[in-house]
Amino acid sequence: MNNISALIIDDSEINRYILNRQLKLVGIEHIFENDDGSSALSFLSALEENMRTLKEKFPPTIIFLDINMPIVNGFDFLERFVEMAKEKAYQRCKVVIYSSSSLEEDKERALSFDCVSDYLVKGDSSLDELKLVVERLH
Amino acid sequence: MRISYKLMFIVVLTLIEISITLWSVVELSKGATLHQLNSLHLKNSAIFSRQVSDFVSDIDTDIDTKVNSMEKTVLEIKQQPLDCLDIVNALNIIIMKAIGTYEAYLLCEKDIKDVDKALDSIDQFRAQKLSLPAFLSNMEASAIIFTENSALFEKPITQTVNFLLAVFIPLVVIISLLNILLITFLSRNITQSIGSTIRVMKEKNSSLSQEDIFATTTGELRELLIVASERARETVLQEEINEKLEQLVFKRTESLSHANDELTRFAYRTSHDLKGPVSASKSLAQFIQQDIDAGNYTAAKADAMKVELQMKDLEAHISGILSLTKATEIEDSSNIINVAELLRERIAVLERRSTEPKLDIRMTADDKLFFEANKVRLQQVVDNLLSNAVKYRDRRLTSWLTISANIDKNSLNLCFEDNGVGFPENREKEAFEMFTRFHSSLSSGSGLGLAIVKKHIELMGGSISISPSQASTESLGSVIEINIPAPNNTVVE
Repeated sequence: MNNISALIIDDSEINRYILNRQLKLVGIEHIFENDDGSSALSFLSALEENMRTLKEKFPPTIIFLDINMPIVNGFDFLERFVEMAKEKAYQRCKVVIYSSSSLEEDKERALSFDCVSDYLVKGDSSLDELKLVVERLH
Repeated sequence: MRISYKLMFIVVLTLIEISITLWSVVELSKGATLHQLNSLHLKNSAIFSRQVSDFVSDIDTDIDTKVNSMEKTVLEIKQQPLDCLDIVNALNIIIMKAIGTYEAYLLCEKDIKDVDKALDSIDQFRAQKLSLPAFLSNMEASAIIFTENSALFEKPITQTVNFLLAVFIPLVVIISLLNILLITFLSRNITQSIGSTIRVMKEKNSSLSQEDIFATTTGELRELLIVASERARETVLQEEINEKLEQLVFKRTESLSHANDELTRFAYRTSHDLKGPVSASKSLAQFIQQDIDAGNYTAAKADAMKVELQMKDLEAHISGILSLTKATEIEDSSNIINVAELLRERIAVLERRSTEPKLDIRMTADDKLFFEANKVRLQQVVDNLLSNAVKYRDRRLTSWLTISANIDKNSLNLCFEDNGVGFPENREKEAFEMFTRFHSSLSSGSGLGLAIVKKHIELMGGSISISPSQASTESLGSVIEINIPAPNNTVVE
C-alpha cells in the first residue's frame, strides 16, 4: 500500500489525529492534513509544485472529507473540487466522506457527487470498515 | 296597520255581507208565505160563502151539521191571520209602518176579531139566543167581510215585498261590491308592504341603516325583520366564532409543530455534538491500550491527556446546553436597570479574571441610562459577548472592543464592535445556530454562546444581528447589534 496517499480534511484536531493513526494502522503511510476546505483546495490546486516535491504521493489517492467545517464546508469543497478534477491528474482521487452527521439528506447529497465513493459516520465505523474502504479503492 | 287586523276586518265584513243576504232571503220568503196564507184565507172564505149560501137555500134539514161545518171553516179561517201575526216581528212592523203598509197588520187583527164575532154568533145561535134569520144574515155578512179582508190584505203585502226586493237586492249587491273592493285593496296593500320590504332589503350598498329599514315597516313585517335580522346576526356571530376557533387551532397546531421540530433539531444537534468527544475518547482509549501493549508509555500518556481534553470539551458542551435550557426557565420579571452601571460591572468582572489586559474596551453610554428589562438575561448577554470578544480577538493586533448603548423609540440599542477574527463571509445566519464554531482552533467552547445570547434576546422580545466591522481595518472584525423593546412601552427618564 506504499503507493497510496491520503488527505484528511477536518477542522477538529483530535479527529485528524485519530483518523491519521487509524489510517496508519490500515497501512497508509503518506497522509496530508488540512483543517478546512479552503486550505485543502489551495493545497490541491498547487499541482505542479506539489508533484515536483511530493512525486507520486500527489495528488492523494483518497480524500477523507468532513462536512461541518467553519469556512469552506464539505459540500462547498466538493463543488469546487469537481471543477478542479476535470484536470486529468486529479481523476484518480476518490473522496470518502468522514463526518459525524448521520442525516440521510447529507448522505444522499454527498453520494450524488461522482467522485464520492463512500460515506463513513465518525464513531460508528470500525477500523475494519475503514480497511475495507481503502482496499476497495486500491 | 297590522296584517292580522286587516284580515280580521275582511272576515267581519264578509260575515256582515252573508248575514244581510241571509236575512233578505228570510224576509223575502216571509212575503211568499204571507201570499200563500192569504190565498188559503181566500179559499176558506169561498168555502164558508158556499156553506152559508147552501144553508140559506135549505134551512130545514141538518141544521146542526151545517152549523158545525161552518164553525170548523171559520176556525180554519182564523188560523191564517194568527199565522200571519206569528211570522211578523217587531222590525217588520217598523218597516211596514215606515212604508205605510201597516194596514196589513191591522187587517189581520181585524180579521181575527171578525172571526171571533162569527164564532160568537154561532155560539149564540146554538144557545138559541139568536134567531135563524139573524144568524144567517150575520153569517152572510161575515162571509163578505172575510173575502173583503183577503182582497184588502193582498195589496200591502205585495207592496211590502216589492219594497224589500227594491231595498235588499241593491243593498246586498253594494255590500258585496264594497267587500270585494276592500278585499282587493287590503290584499294589494299587504302584498305591497311585503314587496317594498323585500326591495329595501335587496338594495345593495343601501345607505339605509338597519333602524331605517325597520322604520319603513310596521306590524308583523317589522317583527319578522327584527327576528330575522337577529337570527342572521347570531348566525354570523357563530360563524365568526367558528372561524376564530379554527384560526386558533391552526395557530396552536402550527406553534406546536414548530416547537416539536425545534425540539427534534435540538435533540439531534445535541446528541450529535455530544457524541463527538465520546467517539474520539473511545478511539483514543484504544490507542492507549495499543501503546501500553507496545510499551510506548509516552504516547499513551499523550493520548490520555487528549482524552482529558475531550472530557473537558464534553463538560463545556453539557454546561452550555444546560445554560441554554435555563435561558428559557429564567423568571420573566423586569427591573429598572442602570445600563451603563451594568456594563461597567460586567467589564470589571471580566478584567478581574485575567491577569494581563487582552482587550482595550471603550464604552459609550449615558451614566443615567435607565431601562426596564430582565437583569439576569441582560447580564448573561453582556457576559457572553464580552467573553467572545476576548476569545476570538485577533492575536496579531492590538485588540479593541467598543460598546455603545442608547435608548431610541422606547427600545434599548446595544452595539458591540470589535476588531477580532470575525466570521466567514455570508455565514451570518449560522453564527447564532447551536454548536456553530467558526474558529475552533482559537478557543475551546461548546458553540452555544451566541445561541444562548439569541435565546435571551428573543425571550425579551428583541432582535440581534451580526455583520463585519467597518471600523476594523486590519481584520474582519464584527458588529453585534441588539434591540430590546421596553416592556409595556414605558421608559424611565
